[in-house]
Amino acid sequence: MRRLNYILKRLLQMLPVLLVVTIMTFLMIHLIPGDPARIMAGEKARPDAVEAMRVKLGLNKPLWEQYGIYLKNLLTLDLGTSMKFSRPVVEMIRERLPVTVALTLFSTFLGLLFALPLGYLAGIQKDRMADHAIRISTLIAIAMPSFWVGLLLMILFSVNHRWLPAGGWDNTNLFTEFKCLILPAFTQSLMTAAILIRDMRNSVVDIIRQDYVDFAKSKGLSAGAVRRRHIIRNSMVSTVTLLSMRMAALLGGSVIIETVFALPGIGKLTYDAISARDYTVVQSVVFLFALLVLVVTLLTDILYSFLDPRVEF
Amino acid sequence: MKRYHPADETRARKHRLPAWAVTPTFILGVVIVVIALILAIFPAQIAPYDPTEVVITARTKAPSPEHLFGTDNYGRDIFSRVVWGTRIDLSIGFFGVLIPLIVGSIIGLLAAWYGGWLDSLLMRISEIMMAFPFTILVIAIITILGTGTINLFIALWLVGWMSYARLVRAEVLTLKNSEFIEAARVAGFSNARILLRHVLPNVISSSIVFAASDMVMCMLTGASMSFLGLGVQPPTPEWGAILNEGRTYITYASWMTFFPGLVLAITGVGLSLLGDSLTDILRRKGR
Amino acid sequence: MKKLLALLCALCLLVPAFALAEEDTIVFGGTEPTYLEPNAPAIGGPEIHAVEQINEGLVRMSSDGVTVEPLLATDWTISEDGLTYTFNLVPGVVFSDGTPVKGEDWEWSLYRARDTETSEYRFIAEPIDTVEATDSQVVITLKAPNGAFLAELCSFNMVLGCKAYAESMTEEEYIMNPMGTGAYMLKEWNHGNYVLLEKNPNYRNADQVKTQYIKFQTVEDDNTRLMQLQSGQIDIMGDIPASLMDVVRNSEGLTLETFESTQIRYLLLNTTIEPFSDINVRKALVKGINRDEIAEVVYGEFGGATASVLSAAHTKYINTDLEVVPYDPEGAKADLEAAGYPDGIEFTLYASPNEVYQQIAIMLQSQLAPAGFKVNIVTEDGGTIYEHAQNLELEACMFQWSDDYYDPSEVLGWICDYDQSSAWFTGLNDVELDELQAAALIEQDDEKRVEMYKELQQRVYDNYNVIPLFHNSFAYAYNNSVQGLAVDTFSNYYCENIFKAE
Repeated sequence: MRRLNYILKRLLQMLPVLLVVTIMTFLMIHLIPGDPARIMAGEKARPDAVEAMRVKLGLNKPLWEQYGIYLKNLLTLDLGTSMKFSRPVVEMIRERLPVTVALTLFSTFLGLLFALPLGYLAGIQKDRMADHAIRISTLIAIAMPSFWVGLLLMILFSVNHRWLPAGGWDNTNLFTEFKCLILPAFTQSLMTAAILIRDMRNSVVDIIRQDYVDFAKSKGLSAGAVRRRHIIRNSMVSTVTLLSMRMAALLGGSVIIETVFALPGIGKLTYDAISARDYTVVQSVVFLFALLVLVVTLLTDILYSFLDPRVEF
Repeated sequence: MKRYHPADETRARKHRLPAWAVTPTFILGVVIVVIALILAIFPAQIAPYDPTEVVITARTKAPSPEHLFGTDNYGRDIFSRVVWGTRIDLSIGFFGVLIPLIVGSIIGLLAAWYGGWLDSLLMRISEIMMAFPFTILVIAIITILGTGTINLFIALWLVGWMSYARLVRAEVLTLKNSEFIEAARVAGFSNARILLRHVLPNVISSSIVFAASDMVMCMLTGASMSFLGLGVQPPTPEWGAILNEGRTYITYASWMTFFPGLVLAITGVGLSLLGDSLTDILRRKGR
Repeated sequence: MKKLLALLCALCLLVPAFALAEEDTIVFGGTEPTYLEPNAPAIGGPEIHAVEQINEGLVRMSSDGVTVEPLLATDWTISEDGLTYTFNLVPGVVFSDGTPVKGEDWEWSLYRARDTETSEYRFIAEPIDTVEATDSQVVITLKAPNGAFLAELCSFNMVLGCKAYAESMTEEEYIMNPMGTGAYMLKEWNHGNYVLLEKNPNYRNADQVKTQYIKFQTVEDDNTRLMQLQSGQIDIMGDIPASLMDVVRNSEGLTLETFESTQIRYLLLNTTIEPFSDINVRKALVKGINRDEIAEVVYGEFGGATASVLSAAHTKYINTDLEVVPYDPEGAKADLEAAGYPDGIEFTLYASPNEVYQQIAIMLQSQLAPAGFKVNIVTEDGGTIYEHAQNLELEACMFQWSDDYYDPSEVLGWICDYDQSSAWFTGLNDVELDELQAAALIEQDDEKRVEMYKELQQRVYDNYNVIPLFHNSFAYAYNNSVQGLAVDTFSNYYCENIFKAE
């Protein structure tokens, strides 16, 4: 019951935050110099065509009215029509979201695949060769700019040896889609893995020191059982938290990787919409991102309370 | 199997140099950062060429003894550009973090200490800022302000302070009711004195640890913005910008992209190694 | 686990099957079109390339880029006064859904080109007063005589659409779902991914069209596009950036085709504010620019310095007396001193993040330094620069122009007609120039018209406000197995004869 109350309270608290997010997004996009009517009408368009465009896009209306339309669109879940593409924003998001979500899940999966054994190994082998090697590798993985790694991988695997597609999105079938995701997901997973490994290692180191591990050992549990029952499970708590935060960051920060690999995802959509001053798209997508981040944070907090009963509300 | 034992630390303390100071990772970190600092302070003495001088006859030359990292499409020496870029990238990392560290810590300190509306305001603002995707927020701010080094800094500052405020706030909240702070209050010290002399030194360490890794993130963000064409103004030799200029030529002049990226990665590793060692020091000190 | 493996194997088996189906498809790699209808706003290369396969006009530019050739019209006559154009139509033409073309379709299409309020290229149809059409003849009456009109009719927006079809849906739907009489028709548009065109079975020369499908695959990034071309994922890549032309040429299995485009990059100096309000300063600046070197750095052998604002594609109209001012930094410095600036001048040059403008900016900065000009480069987003430039707020900026049809009136109108663009964002209100431009447009005598345009070029040259820097070739590349693609000077792609050889 207390948990339910807590969740309801958190949900209520989200409302004013989301409202301010809409105001900020609206003001920000309107503060960007560059007249959308002019950009949508085209470079060679004459002034009368630009004016007609302004009326068509509703940009001649007072600001508060434009904001009202934005809010109304959000509330009716309609999200409006893209200024540039004259298409429903919902449709555009629906087309692109799967790419970003697939990329995020795939790269998170790869990240976990690297992180769990390596992080555990580093923690167990603290301050020995394996630990140093793993730690330095993670630092390198964090310090490498993702676009640089992406370009190098592309040269290696797509240009020199034509094993994988050099970016782009081939949706002929699941297999071609999978092939298009390998390099970007791997590039993105490096950073995820590095963050998770470091966290995992530190948790393992901390937990090994804890009394209950000693206690468990003194109870006569084998080393393997201690690891399984206590170390891994407990170190998972912070890993899960970190992972969910990382996933939110990945969803939002997909701009760079989607640009390098020319993937038609949601990050690329947002960036293009900012450059094209496509107000309706930017407003809707940024709102969705904010909503997503808030929900993921809430879910993490709830999940955390299940994994670690000591957490109180 | 060697396991951790408290005796390890006592043993270490007896040496003049503590154990953490002689780990290979720490030494490697120091070496990298010192080299980077030397490059940043004396670029004119180290760089063999003018980093912005266009030499039409020497365009896209592969690395050679004459041009260690080769030349770019304007015939500029990439090694010299990378050397001069050290100053800019390190300052992006340093100043991109310094201001948020100071401002964010002060805000977090005040919010947690005084509580009330200040605290709620801070928490609401940070919640809102956290809800925005980081990269997109930076892109939006730079697009509003226009490109350039100063605007890049402003964007980094605007999004950066919050993490510090939250970190410090959390630390202060746990410390606020501890015995020695109570003691200081009872002794009748002023708020300012308690905050500066007793609270701050105890809470700042986690911020500093975070700042070390944040520096790397700032440098990467700066480079990413240059990659999108939103970074420093040309012909400023910033690593991300050099890398981005070389991107078009990557299929036949890969050195234009390879070297600046490599140097960026190495510097990042050096900073992170130092940051890690710093974490260890603070952790041991705290115990 | 076994199930997963089985699934993967099954997927692998599927791949060759799909590859077979691809045989009869030619894939273009490029930017995604926004709309597929020429009267929609902001039409550019990606839209035009697709539209040209779907819709046809009365006439079109022949591949030499100079003569107008019949398309849906068999022949035409122009009245003595230059006001009435009469076109006889090819009989029996049907739209891709089988509907016969009627006179009302022509009237609707040409009025649509003129009256669609938000159309970027509406000005091309502006001269039209009335259109009267029967099923065999189209009669167009102009508001005033116009020497450029026949060339304008070749433009991609003066094309035939089906009135009944368009009116059966909303405008928003129509600009996504065009229908015409061309060799191809829209089969599927997978947004964000590709536009698939299928051979039009009702095309009047359908038996000559060799390829069943043309796919415009969205690949936004140039490098990625090139890698996909090299790896065979796409067959044709258009608009190859200068920096990649050499790479493509040296790539095995690829053919690079270049053609002289109508594209010119210009430096625009704002004459309404200091320091370029002084013509002597502008003159000095021009002496401090080495256009050959800029062209060399940016385009290598694919570009060259240019003196006239008009591109070489306009053959007979070019004023060949104009010469590129030779690079003379000392002379520039002396001129600057004479103009009252002994300590030189500092100004800000705005450049968009596009690599070509970045390169020009860096070259200008380096060349102008010894001439006493200190150039501060500011990179701004393209949309931002356009707005500030339009409001005459920038000291200096750069833009490009490429023509849409064979006639000098388009670019010279843009530069000389003050109402169109404030003399292309330079704010120079030269009334004589404006009048001469208006007179040239309606001049009927071809020789006189040529002379007038030559004089216009001379005058712009002497004003030193719009400075053409260099012209360049356009390039496209294809897999060696692709044959029969034709591209003209105005970047029109003709795909009727395209096919993939075994």
